[in-house]
Order: sequence, then structure tokens, then C-alpha cells
Amino acid sequence: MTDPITVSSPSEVLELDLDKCNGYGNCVFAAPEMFELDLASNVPILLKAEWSDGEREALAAAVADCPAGALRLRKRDALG
Amino acid sequence: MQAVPQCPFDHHAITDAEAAWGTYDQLRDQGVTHSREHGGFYVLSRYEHVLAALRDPDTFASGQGTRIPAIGDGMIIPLDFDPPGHTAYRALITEHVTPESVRGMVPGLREMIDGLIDGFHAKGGGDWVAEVGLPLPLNVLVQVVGFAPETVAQFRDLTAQSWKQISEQDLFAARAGLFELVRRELQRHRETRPDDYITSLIGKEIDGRPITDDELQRLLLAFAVAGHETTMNASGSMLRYLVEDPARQGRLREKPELIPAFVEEVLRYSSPVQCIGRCTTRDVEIGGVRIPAGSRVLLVYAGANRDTARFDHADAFDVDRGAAGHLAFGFGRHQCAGALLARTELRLVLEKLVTMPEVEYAGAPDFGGLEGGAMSGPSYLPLRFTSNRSPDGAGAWR
Repeated sequence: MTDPITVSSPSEVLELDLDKCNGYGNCVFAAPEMFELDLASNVPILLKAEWSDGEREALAAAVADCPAGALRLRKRDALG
Repeated sequence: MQAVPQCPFDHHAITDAEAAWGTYDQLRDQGVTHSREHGGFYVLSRYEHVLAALRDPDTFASGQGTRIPAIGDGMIIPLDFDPPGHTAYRALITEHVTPESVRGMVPGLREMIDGLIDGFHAKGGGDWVAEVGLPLPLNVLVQVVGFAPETVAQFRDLTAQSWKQISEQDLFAARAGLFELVRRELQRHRETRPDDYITSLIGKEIDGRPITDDELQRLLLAFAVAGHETTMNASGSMLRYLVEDPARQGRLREKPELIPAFVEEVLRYSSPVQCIGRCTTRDVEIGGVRIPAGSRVLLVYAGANRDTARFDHADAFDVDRGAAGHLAFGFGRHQCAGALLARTELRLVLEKLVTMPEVEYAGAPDFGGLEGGAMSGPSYLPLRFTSNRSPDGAGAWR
């Protein structure tokens, strides 16, 4: 088991769980500004460590579109 | 709200897969339509509409079956189920085909695929579908799932027979022969417990209780049917588009890094699964048409994948277009669980072929019709190699 890869905006945290990822690439399709598919490993690469309000809609679509449930967007807690 | 246009569309009546593209164009032009065939169903064929339905699987549900007409008790797992059941079922498959596990399968897959293509070459070619297209996914079902070779050898004929019967009888009855085969496989795995995926399934739990025999059979049936025909059709179409323009082969030889893009364009352009059904759980409006709760809806992936509103010059095969976002595997909750495995198999075929002499038609191909009102791919694809270069460039094969 590996810990999810996380990146954050001021209010939210995006988690990418590579144990769950099945390499569909839907996130790359929904949010090309945020994700790229590594063709050697077929897992997504996070292109940015943060996102703007304008990019949030695409990011939410990427989370919703993931058939594997490997992406999660959650409120940032006190520990960040 | 507009009245829904009626169309006489019947996916089970498509006997010429080539002519179907013109039919899909007409459907798309009309937007959301309704057919009175098979008890009545709505037809979505624009990219925007099909994607919207796939993104709303609670409204466009699968639990009443994904075939039109309805399939009675012939549901397979996880295709014909909704959450919460679907979630646990699907995990049984996805945990076996993660990117990491598929990477681990590559050496064995490459050896098997190279062997099939070397054998095809040694014979001087033949019918790709019979010699490589069908054996390839059947071998995968032996290697990756754990079916016996003599079991998978019967999948093709039994599946083809079941499709012929599907529009007239309950799918459970149409698939009786397949159910019997997977029942025997489960029995064999219980008795001899070979170290494979099927044996690992037997001890699984679903929501804290042991998985039942009925569930295991419906799950294995998904592998038996979805696990061979789709890949067979995709590789046949891939070879077709490869030989129809020799420049494509030259380009892949020079730039093998284009292979993944080539595979994606084959999937978009050919749509091996051309359509699938859903049933609405509430009244829903789409494309200005109100679809009442409880309606059957046909999602035409093939129409969506050639929608010019989404893909420029959609009717042209273009490796450079960037086919990402095509719906050949569906999209979202029910997106093909074997997509990565299928893509990997298709890439390995091309990686081998670019080291071989070029291939060309050796006769007239037959592109067939839509099997079971959905499955499309060449039924006969006679090919031969154009030169006598050997794979390592030394000596002659024939």
C-alpha cells in the first residue's frame, strides 16, 4: 500500500490513490491542465501542485469521471 | 419541449457493418430519436448526449440490463448491475488488472503474441481473424484468468450462437451453453485449486458473506464473452486500417512511439462495441427531448465516436488527431474494466508487426454485420506479408 499523492489549494486537498488507479486516463481527458498520462506506466502524473478557481470545475469532473475511484477532493483540515 | 422524432432504427437488423456508419450519421442529424422496435427505445447518438448519459449512471441505469430488448435473467456481473452491488463486484475485476499488474503481465503476453504472429508469418499469412485475432484473447483468458484451453476453444461458437438468439429469447437461455462451461470451470477449480485468478475468486466475500456460485458464474461469463470478442474485433479492425494505407505501416516503423496513438484512433474509428443499452430511473430531459422514467435507451458509441461536433474530420482515420475522450470503452462507472489490458494487447501486436515485413490484403475481406446488435469487426481478413525480410533482417523466410 502506498499513501495517496496529495496536492492542495488554499481550501481543498486532491488525493490520487495509485493503489486504486486503473489507468483509464479519464482524468487526463477531463482536466488536461492538471493531469498527464505516463504511457510507460499508464498512471496519471499530476502536472501542478495547486489549482486556480477556474480549474476547479475540470478537476471536479476528473474526480467524478474516475471509474476506479482513485481521485478524491476533500476540504483541507487543520493539519492541511 | 419538442416531439421526439421517430426513427425505424433496429440495431439487430444491421447486416452490413460498413453501411451502419451512414445510418449513425442520419441518427446524429436528428438528435435524440425514438424507435418502436423491440418494445420501444430512445436512441442517443451524438457525442454530447452519450457522454451526458454515461456521466449520469444513476439516471441511465444498468440494473435492468444493458441489452435491448431486455434480457430476462441473463444479467452478467458487473455489467448489468448498479451500486451498491456493482461496486463490490467490479472491485473483484479491477484489482486484478491494475496498471502495475498489467505491467507484470507484459512479458508473458509479449511472448504469446510474438509467437502467434511468427506462426502467422511462417505460414505466409492467412485469415488474421482465425489465425491471430481470435486465439490472442483466448490465450489471454488462459494465461490471465485461468480458463482451460479446451474451455476457451468453445467460447467463440457459443457466443456467436447466443447473439443470434438474443433478439428472440431470454439471454439466460441463449447463454445456456456458456453458463454450463463456466460451471464446469468452477467445479474444476474447486477440485484442483490451480494457482490462478478463478481459484482466488472462489474464496471472496461480497459485503461480508461468501460469494455465491451464481455470482461467480455471471462474473466468469463476463470474461468469457466480453473478454474475447471485443479484442478479436479490435485487432481485426486495427489490421484492416493498417493494410488499407501502406503509408501508415511505414510511419509506425519509423516512429514506433506513435503506436499508442494508433491504437486509440483504431478504437475511436472502429468502435468494437457499437452500442449499449440503459434504462432510465426518472424522467430526464436530454437534447430537448423528455425521456420518461422506465424507458429503454440505446447509447450509440459508434455514432458518438464519429461525431464531427467532437472530432474534426471524424470520418477520417487520423493517427495525429488525439483520439482521447473516445467512448469505445464506454465512460465512467461501467467503463470497460479490461481497457488497459486490451490496449496493452493491441500495442504489443503493433510492436511486433513493425519488426516484420509489411502486411497487405491477400483477398477480399468481409466486414460482417453487427453481432448481437452491438459487436463489430471483420469476420474474415485475408492477409499476407509483402516481402521476405526476416524479423532480424537476415536471411529469407520464404
